[in-house]
Amino acid sequence: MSDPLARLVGELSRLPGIGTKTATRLAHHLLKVPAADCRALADAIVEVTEKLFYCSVCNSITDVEPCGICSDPQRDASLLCVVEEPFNIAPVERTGEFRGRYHVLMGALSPQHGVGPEQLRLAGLLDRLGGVREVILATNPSVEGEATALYLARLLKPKEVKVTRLAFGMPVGGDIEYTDEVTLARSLAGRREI
Amino acid sequence: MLAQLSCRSFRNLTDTDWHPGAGCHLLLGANGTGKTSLLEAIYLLATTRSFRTSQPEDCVRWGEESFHLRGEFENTERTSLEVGWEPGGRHRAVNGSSTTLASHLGVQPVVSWTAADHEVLSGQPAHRRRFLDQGVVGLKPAALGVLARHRRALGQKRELLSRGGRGLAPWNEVLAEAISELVSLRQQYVARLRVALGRTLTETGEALPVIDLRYRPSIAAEGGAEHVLARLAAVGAREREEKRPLLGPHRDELEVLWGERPARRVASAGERKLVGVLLTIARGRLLEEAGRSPVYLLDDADAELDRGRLEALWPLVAGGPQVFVSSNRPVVWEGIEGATRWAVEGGKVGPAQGSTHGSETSTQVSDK
Ligand SMILES: [Zn+2]
Repeated sequence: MSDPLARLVGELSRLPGIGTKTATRLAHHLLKVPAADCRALADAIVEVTEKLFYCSVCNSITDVEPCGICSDPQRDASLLCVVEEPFNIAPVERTGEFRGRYHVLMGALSPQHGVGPEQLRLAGLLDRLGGVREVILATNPSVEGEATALYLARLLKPKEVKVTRLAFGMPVGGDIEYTDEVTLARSLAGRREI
Repeated sequence: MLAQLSCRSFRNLTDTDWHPGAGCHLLLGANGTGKTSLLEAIYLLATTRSFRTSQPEDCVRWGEESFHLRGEFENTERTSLEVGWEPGGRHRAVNGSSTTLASHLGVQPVVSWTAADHEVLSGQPAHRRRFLDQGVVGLKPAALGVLARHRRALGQKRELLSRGGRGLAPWNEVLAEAISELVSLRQQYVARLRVALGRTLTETGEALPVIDLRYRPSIAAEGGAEHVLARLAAVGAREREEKRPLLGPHRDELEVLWGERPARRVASAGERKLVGVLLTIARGRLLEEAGRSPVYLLDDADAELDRGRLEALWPLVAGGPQVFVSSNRPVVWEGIEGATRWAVEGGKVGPAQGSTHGSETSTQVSDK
């Protein structure tokens, strides 16, 4: 693959949710864009990979260690909100209803994708339970997110900590990312012990 | 109701713009002229699936690269549906925009009996489960969510069992919720369909043996999700041993009874056809009662039926709000009233020659 266009299409189509058709369209779009804009995009990609890393405490994405939330003394360290992916933190933050800290699992149980408990960041979670009075399970309202929450509830049961789950109503196979702030705030307020 | 149908590069049909109107339509023509393709186009528009193939590209006319269907449907409001396929994939739209499958299915319910449905009576239980679920979703498109959750959780559990089955508990718990919902939906549907079927049988005025339905769920739903979970847990060791899920809606059976015995074993081909048409009418009546007026599609309606049975069924069939019936034996229909007759020839549909029916003057056909 020495053809630069084919190479770009190949790289783009490796991104999640992007097939060859979309990759081809994006590549042809980039060909029409001024070179300076293309360079800005390339720089942004490189900068992200060089300057950002995962917080060693909560696994969120950060440029300082530990991350802003983990090191903020104003955040309530006795409340821990467990999410699947780092990008699930922002929607919870936007509700303005949560003043605790986070733990990112880096995935959800999914045998079909080869993800079992060993592939999730669970050891870090168990290590952080000292001083925590409530763990809020905010995994996605999908089949995989539900199974993960049920697994965690069982795992945390002997640990003398209150475990709650967001109240989504009917699990609709959705994603926290696509849940609007009002709904998410309501799920947070209506969380139930499991 | 289908008010207008446009087909482009679909099967063997000439690119068509057809305005069929309400009531009963009899599509007459020899085999291979396009009758089934017309019914398939209507079915595909309403359900996004074909009853002949699971590969949409099979519907592309020979020598073409893509096909496109568009229908205008008139119910409480006018809605356009589009379904098509091109090498990049399939597409569908409601009023020009892409939307959820549930809202697409919500526009125009259909009930049909085609060659593929013979499997419902004589084939594997999976065909009857699909028949059940289509009925459930027809009445309540939102039930798609439960079906999807069940399928997904079962798929995960199947994968886990094939890898040894460690960590089954949370999956059984998620599955139990979906199972208890799905089984009660199926149960409610069968209960209602039995009532509608009983009424349909009475309407025929025919002296027929008992035709009935019996739903046999692999796990009963009465005890709710907790009961389901207990049943799943009890069978866990054996599931791990056999490396596959042993209990649940994927093992349910729907018995169709003819004279108190399974129709697939005792009924003749003609009797099974009769049961199929009666079931289709009963399914349609249920939708009508629920205020979701369906389009009825009966392919090769007279095949396997003798003239007496056909005459007994006809008033029930022709009484639907909009009905499309196909046949390759025009002579059988001589003297049978109450339908607009269409001739299907070489992929074209047009008013039948010498038809005495008046309603077709208000309908028109034009080839683009
Ligand atoms: Zn952190």
